[in-house]
Amino acid sequence: MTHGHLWDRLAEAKSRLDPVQSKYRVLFEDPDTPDEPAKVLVPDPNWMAAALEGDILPPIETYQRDRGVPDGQPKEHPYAEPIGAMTEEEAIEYLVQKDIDPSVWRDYEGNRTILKIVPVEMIPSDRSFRNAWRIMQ
Amino acid sequence: MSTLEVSNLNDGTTTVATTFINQGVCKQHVIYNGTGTAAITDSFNTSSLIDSATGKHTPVLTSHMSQGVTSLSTSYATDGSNNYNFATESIQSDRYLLRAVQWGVNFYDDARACASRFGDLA
Repeated sequence: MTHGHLWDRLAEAKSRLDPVQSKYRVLFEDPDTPDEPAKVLVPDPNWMAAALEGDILPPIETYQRDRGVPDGQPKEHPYAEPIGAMTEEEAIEYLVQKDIDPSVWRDYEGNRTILKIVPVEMIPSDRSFRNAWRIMQ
Repeated sequence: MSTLEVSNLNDGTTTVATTFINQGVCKQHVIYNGTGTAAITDSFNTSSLIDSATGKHTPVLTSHMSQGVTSLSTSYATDGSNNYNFATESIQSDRYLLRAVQWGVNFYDDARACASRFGDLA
């Protein structure tokens, strides 16, 4: 195996890649906790740099298969062969599937819009009413 | 990238096993600003930060830990007169939920929240 562990690739990537602040945020609501405010997913700048570079991150399917693996058992994603470079939009879609529960992006069958990918400027910077944020329908 | 395979490192006087170094290394860290539009200032092995509510943020790992229960260190910005602290509401192998609390009562958004995680990787 020549690609090594994912953590080692991340360490090597951080030493040579400049971080990339994404121009997107992912706004979502959890259908299992409808009284909670909308959540905002902030992409990590070093992760985004690795996604745009390619040959660092594993296939998204490995994370999805690892969801069912109990703690302490071997996981697939750290040792999987890395995938190629993504566009920023592809990287955001990858991140949605990796970091947000499938009950939000795959299984929800209700009428509300519960997930939106938006430009960062659309997220309010005034947090006075943060705990009342909802996705506008 | 080339690989040097050694079991021990020696600086001329002291010998240290590479397994010792691996165990002591921080496996993930993040520094974020939770005020305004939340943003990550610096990080390692972090894929995203989920801003869930006032004082409620979840860093998510790129390379997961082997277990949920691992050592986690946090720090926070202070104005010198208020008593702030972090509470870890949940900790899993791929993420942990931090609550920033003022005087043990009010949740608040921290301008310089830091967290780092130690232990075994998956």
